Amino acid sequence: MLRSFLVAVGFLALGCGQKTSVVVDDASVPGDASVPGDAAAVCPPCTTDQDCPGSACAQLGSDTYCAPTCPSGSECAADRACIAASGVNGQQVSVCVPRSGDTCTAPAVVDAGPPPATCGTLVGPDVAAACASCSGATCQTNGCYGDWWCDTATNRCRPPPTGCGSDDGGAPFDGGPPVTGTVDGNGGSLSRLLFAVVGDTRPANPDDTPGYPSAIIDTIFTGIQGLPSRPPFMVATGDYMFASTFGSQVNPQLDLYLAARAKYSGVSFPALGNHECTGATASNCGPGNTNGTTQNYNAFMSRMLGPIGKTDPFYSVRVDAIDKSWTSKFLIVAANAWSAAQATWLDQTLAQPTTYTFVVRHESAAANTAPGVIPSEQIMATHPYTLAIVGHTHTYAHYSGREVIVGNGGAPLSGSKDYGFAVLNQRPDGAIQVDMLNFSTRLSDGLFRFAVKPDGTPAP
Amino acid sequence: MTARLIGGPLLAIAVALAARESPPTSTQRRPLRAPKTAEPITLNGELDERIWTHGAVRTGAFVAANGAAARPYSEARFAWADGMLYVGLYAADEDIRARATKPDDPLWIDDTFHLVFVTAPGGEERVIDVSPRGVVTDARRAGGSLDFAWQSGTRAGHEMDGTIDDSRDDDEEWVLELAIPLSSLGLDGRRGDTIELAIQRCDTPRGAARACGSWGDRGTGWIVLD
Repeated sequence: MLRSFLVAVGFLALGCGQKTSVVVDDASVPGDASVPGDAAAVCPPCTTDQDCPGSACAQLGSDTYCAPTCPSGSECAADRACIAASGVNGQQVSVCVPRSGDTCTAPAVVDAGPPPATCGTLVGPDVAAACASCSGATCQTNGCYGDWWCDTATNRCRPPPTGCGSDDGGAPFDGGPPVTGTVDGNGGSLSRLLFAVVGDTRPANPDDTPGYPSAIIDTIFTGIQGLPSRPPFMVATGDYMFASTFGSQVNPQLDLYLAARAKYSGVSFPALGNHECTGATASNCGPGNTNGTTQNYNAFMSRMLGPIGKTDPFYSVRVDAIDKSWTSKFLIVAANAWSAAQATWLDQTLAQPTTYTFVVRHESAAANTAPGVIPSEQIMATHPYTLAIVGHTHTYAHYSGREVIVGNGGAPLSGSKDYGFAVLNQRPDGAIQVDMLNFSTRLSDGLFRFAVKPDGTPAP
Repeated sequence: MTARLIGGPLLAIAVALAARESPPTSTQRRPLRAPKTAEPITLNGELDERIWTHGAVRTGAFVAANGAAARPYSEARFAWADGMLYVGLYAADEDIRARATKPDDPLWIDDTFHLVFVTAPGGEERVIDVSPRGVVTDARRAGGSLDFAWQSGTRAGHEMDGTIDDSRDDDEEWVLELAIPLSSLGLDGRRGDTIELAIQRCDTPRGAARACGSWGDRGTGWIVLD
């Protein structure tokens, strides 16, 4: 039954051309001893072109296999298709690939989780190593390409490893002693800077209110509220709904979000996401802007910003030390309601000196089709700041520099990480430590944790 | 960004379709009852017809081999009408990869949904793969061989939020909207028809190993036309 299932099936298109009447004998499914055949004869594994006499060693699926080349596009047998693939040297190569992956694909790993930077003799893309399978802009620090790892024992590039103890459930989060002081919609004063971040809470499809991730966001806010050192305030990176601008599901979805948020007693400073405009990343809402004031935008303004007294989709908040030992400002940027007025506000507000500066925006710098991303990044580049806190991507990540992505607040996860929230905590040395907590266990991802100094440079 | 790419071909499906009037045994998962829709469905990957959010039966999140929710997230929905099985497939994806561009290309090398139907217990499998581009590769398995000359007649609409084959940025998701002729699955397309189906979605997250989630594995996936 379903013999081909759980073997990544591949079909063939041949000769880079039209469909042809062929019957492919795919009896040699790896691990299926009941059928004859030899997968290795169809897809010999390889690490270099020297392993493939007369063929090329190409990256296909989750591994590398020898495959005949087809420079003219017409050299392939009927059961194969000529496609462009990455060779082990990082160059594109045209190879004849079996239309079915039954005979080639190693059993896929399920939920392997993110690997650590090293794994035995394997080192990750960002670790310096002596592999030399790439050149040019796509070349990684380890000498490989395409996220592959370098085996330092052989200096060969390999697919990312699994089961190296990564994603091991995390460690208990220590938020330090309780924070004193108060923060309301106008800001406040605290004994220590401590706040939570939640981002991207929406169903997979428009107007799919029955699919709203209420259970997840309920658990997230309950978790924040239940931390031994409860953060006095939080910021949200946008996208609280997936509702069509002419439908009837905007308020029902916001009802669900706000009901969950009510489980947390601190004040929230939300950023506007693209789904609070039209849903398109490139949309631009607000009076006088291309997409105007959609019902999504209006509901965000009235129901999420109204309670904290904000009348513009962009705003700033000051949170300073009770003992005057430090100051901080939070600039909530609305990249999907961008305007000249917002640009002026951002420039002028960033110019106000504070110990810490956090810029909260929905889209990351890479999601630059949002109208306000490029201009806000240009303005930010002319001022000091500590960290940009963004969402939009449904995972969490800190690739490098002064940007952290927190977008795993219930929207369909796009990466390998789980739902959760971030906690940013001021350390005694003044650095800001960023922890990512699992939504159900509240354990911190030790592989993710990082810290930055007030100027945004990495802290040990 | 929402890049709309309609009508492209790419799908990796492995489907097992059971014959009409052959209900699952008590040890199998309770079948999903797919509603009949009178609403025209436009195959554009938007899933914006009312049936998709109000009535279409859902698989819920695909699961990993250990039973936990698979990462990244995937799910499927079903409805039927006028001789067609409509399937909505959602795939969250931070790095959409789909190099193959022609029907019956090898889709297994990148991101795919893989549907397997079985027409009867012990019968042949009908396999349909679909890629984020909406490319369809289909075949019939008979006697241990795959016959790629077989055509399911599947039409696919697709939509994606992200940049395909560009790992320099963060993608969000891709969605497929399929119309599969029930006749190609050996069914008349009548109320009560029972379909055995298994769906797998495979993905290579950025910086991690290729992983797959599934629904309906090991004979647990059944759809009844309601």
